[in-house]
Amino acid sequence: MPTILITDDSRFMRDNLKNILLEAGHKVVGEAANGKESVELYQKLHPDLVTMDITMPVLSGLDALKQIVALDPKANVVMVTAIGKPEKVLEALNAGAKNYITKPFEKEKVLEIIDELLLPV
Amino acid sequence: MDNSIASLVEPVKTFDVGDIGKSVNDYFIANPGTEGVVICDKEQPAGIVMRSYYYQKIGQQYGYSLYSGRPLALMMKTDILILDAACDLARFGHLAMDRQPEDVYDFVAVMDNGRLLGAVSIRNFLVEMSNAKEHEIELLREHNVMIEQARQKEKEYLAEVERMNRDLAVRSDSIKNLLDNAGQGFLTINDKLIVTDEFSNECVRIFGVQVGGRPIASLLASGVEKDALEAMTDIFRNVFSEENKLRNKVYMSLLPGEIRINNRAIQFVYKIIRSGTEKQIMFILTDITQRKHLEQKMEEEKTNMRLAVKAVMNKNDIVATLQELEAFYTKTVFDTLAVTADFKQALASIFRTVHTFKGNLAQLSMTHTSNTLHGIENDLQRALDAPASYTSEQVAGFFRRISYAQLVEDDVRVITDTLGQDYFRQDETVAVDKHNILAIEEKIRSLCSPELSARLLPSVKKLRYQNFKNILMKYNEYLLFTAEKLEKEMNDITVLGDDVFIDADKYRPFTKSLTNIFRNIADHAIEPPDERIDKGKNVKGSVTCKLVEQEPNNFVFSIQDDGRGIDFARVREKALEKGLYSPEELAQFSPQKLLELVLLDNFSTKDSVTAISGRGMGLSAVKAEIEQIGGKMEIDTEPGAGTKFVFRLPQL
Repeated sequence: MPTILITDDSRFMRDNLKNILLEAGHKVVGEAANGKESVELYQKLHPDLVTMDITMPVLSGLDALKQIVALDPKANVVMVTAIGKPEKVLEALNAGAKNYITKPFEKEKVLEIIDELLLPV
Repeated sequence: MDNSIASLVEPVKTFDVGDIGKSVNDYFIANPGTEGVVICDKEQPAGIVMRSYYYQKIGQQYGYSLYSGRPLALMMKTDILILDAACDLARFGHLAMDRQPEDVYDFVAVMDNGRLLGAVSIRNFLVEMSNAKEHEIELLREHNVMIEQARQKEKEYLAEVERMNRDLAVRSDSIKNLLDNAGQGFLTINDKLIVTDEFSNECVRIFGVQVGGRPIASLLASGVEKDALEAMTDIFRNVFSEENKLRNKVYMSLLPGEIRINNRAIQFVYKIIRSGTEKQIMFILTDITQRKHLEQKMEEEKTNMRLAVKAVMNKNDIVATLQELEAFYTKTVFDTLAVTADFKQALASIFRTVHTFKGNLAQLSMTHTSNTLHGIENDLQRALDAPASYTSEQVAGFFRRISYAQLVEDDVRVITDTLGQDYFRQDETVAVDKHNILAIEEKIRSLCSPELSARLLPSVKKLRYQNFKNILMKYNEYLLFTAEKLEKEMNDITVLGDDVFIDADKYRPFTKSLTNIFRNIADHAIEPPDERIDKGKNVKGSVTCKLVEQEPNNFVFSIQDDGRGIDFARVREKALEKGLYSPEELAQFSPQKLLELVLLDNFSTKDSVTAISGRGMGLSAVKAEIEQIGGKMEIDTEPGAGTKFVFRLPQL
């Protein structure tokens, strides 16, 4: 079963996302509260997909993304971002993010994006 | 407002059935604002030709050559609505809306004393009606359905246009004509991000300049901020250089769906067009200024409904988030600015917190508050970009401009208006009047699309559900009261296990029948106090209920007493007495089979008919009710130690 690592500095958001993923039968192997934790957990857990909030303390989502992609160019990183910030998303996509989820997120949309990346084509 | 439709009637251009298609074509081109024309036969209306219908007809293969030289009688719609000028608005609305979906926007011809007076445009009718307060919501709903249908039509129409555009190597005059009259702008850009020569006239109207040969960025510059425009350009470049379709899709989804151009709201739809190895991006532009105005009201109502639903379902989250926000907004911000030595660091920390609140509030549907925070976040972003030109006093000012009360006012009002002033009292549960919930359900049904309703309604319906535990606990008083009358002593009922929520109305006949079980326990099962003492049991009898939720759609509960159990010897005797089975048959019966006898009509092992337990109808009634709703019941007994009833039920 594919494994997922959630990254967000808000516990509320992590729980929200985790519930959506668990309900759909995904396996959430780790939760990181900032970019640094996310990179560390990525190295330890080798998840199939990482969700990455952009605005976070210690290490931002964009920097964490770059570090993860440097470690593993094939990494599936999906950015989580507030609506109306296309510039930030674009920067992330150009840096190797595979897709993005906008907050507030809807269950169906989240699962569609995750499945698109995790299901073998 | 006048009650007849007379005030809505407008003069309408008429043609004779013998006139040729080209005459209508010329008229539409010369009068771009005209929605349609009426075709008369001996001065009586015989049909109509609406603009969109006309262009659909001639858009078909050979359509133009087929219809342009032939009489209008061949192409007009003959199934038309003709009404008298005295017809009232309500009846008009009913008849006009009752037409086939594809006809709903057609003119209605209006007669006066046997002569054609003119036509009523459905668009005008809707505008007029939406001015009338009492019909407002109802009409918006119908309008929404029509907009949906119109959009659907528009989509099919666009797909058709696009297909023709691709298929035809040489664009004929009629296609150009079609594009120019579709009321929408079409343009394509090439890999240099320059608008090609293939664009429709509407584009010129929208942008106010000739668009062919211009860089797309220069056309958009007035409506898009610099950063966003750079991002758009970057996206276009990426789409042209990237072959992966999923990547293309992800990038294109970042493009804005609406841009204000020359003070009009223009909807932008983007499509990648491939012909051979060449790739172009097509823009489909629609002026939605009018539509937006009508939809805005409805959108607001929908947002409020969503908040009301969230407020009930996630009360703890809402209350906790607001408390945290208040502490941050009224205190932490100022402390951080005063205490943290590094101004930039303080700013960054405040920015992140505001950003997080913004997201969390939006997730909880508190959009007003979230939007206001978005504005503050923008101010903070500017300060972060140039910290040297800001003081901490200025940053504190961002938060003083709007008080906390003003910040949350709109969302809090939506909650208290819908759910009552008591909502924010410190209490884990919300009591909502059943009628309020029904009203919310009705509003969701009338305002939201079927898909959205299907997602929202189950949550709201659950508010009407009851915890099955509470239903069982209601029997406590009855059980103790019955036991007392029979001079027995009993403890309160114990209810354990899962919280199972059910639509109580649907289970009512069954749950009512459970009286029989509790009465049986008090009367038959629990021994008198002296007997219990002799047996070494607690002098007070006990009843324990247990609930287990079973996925996906079932639940099980049991009612267990610590009474005398069912006496198999008495069951056999009773069955004999009643002549149900022979002694030989009964000797063969397993304990389980004997227990099934207890559930038969008129089977009671108590020797006397008492006022309390009646004639042994009890258990069979429970069995009948549970079977009625697709459930099953079983009995398990241990002589001397007690009896357990197990009920297996579907979620209804």
